[in-house]
Amino acid sequence: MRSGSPFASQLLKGTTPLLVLSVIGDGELYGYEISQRVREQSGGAFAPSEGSLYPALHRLEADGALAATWRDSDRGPRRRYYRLTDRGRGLLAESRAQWGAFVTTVNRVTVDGR
Amino acid sequence: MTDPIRPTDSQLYLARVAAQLRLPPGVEREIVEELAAHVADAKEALAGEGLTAGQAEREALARLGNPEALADDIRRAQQTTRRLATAGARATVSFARTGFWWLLVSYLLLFVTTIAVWILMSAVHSMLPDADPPLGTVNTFGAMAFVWVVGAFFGAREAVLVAAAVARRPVAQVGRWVAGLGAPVVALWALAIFEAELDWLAVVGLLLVPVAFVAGCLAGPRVRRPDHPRRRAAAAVVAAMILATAGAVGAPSARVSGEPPISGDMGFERVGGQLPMGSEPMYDSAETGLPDGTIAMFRWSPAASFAGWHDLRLEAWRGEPTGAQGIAPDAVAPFATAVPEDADGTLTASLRVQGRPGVSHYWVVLTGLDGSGQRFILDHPYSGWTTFHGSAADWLKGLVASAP
Repeated sequence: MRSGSPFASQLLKGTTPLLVLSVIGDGELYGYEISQRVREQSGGAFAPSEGSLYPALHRLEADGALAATWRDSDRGPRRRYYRLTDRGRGLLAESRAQWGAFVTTVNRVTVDGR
Repeated sequence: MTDPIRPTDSQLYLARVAAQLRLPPGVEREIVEELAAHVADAKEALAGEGLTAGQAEREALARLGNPEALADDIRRAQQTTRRLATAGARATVSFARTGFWWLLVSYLLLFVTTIAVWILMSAVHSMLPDADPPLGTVNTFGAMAFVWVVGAFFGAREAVLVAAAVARRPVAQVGRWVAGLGAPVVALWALAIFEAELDWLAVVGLLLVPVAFVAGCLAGPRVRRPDHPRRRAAAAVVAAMILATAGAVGAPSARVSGEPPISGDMGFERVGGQLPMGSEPMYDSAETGLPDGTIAMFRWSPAASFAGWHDLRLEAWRGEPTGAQGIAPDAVAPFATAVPEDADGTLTASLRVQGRPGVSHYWVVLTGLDGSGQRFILDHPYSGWTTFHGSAADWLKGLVASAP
């Protein structure tokens, strides 16, 4: 998938919170790491726009899905690490289920219906 | 090589983000710091891919997009309804907790300061035996109202600071919201709901409570938080001095009641002429101040004793608020008047003396006109004490109603 196309961009925008929650999982990552993980785990196919990553992180934190902590770094400036809260884990499970249902439904129309 | 004076592209970019964020300063600093770390990481990674330092910086910033748009998106993400609701709850708790703390400290300081002043005055008095008596009782209700003023100011200020931090909104904006929403509630409580024994000092204090609340809301960070021990102590001392002064102003030094001798300097000439000894009407009288002090009733028998007198009136005059003998110097007319009625040969009249704003000490006098139209005092004055019990609004209504 080419993430630069308008269609891919729209899809990516809607799925950014799910991607962020998924890559954080049980770990603790900072913003740049999150964008790199998404890029790596998608095989370089797409990465969330870095301009939309931080608003998404801050909204998830404001909603109580993420908790953030500042940590000093061995090299460079200190970083803000994000981890899932219980509420975040619930939201991730719910989002995964919704995404699965969504894909199934879209496939039913676009693939099975042909 | 970087020009030490000219800002880098990253610095300019982050400055534009910061200018557009419009969030509490602490939150803004953290966001900019987080973005700066991101740009540094991205630059390093891009440089590792073979880009020059300048190219890497420009590419890293380009990936973040327009700085104003990014700031707007982050601000919207920060200012959620959930945080707004939490801010409302936290602000209410902060107002109650901080307001109560200041109220308690102010009242304790008032108590201690008053005792100290009283001891000092007593010591001075003991050295000057001919001096006036020292301070009497503290005007508790008046002082208490000023304690609330202190509590309302600091409680409101803390509530605004907490709400702004939680809601991620500018303090000035939150201050206007809290003032707009809270001031009517505080004013309603201070002026209409809260009832007590009030005097003018207490009413002034209660009127100032919503004013102090609004001032606290709008003060925001302009007033330095009294978190430093010295500043806290200084603020407490100033508050105590104000309160002690408030307490001392209305302090009555002595209390009198009954039928004192009338002397020429007690202001009774404003009520009417004094009858010469032995020329008063002959009657049996009963003067009753009811136990709760609400109504003074007077009966005279036989009513025929007052033959020759006309336009009889029972008049209540405001007395010296300090308890000194006599009519208040500024009282030029009775604050209440009743016309006695002849009931089976007994002249009866009653007056309501309770619930009169500004009246703490009163005199009740029976007067009448003689054949020449001159008014005389026909019965010995009766004096007593009363208090106003009600809300500040009741007090003000009573004041308007009793205006000439």
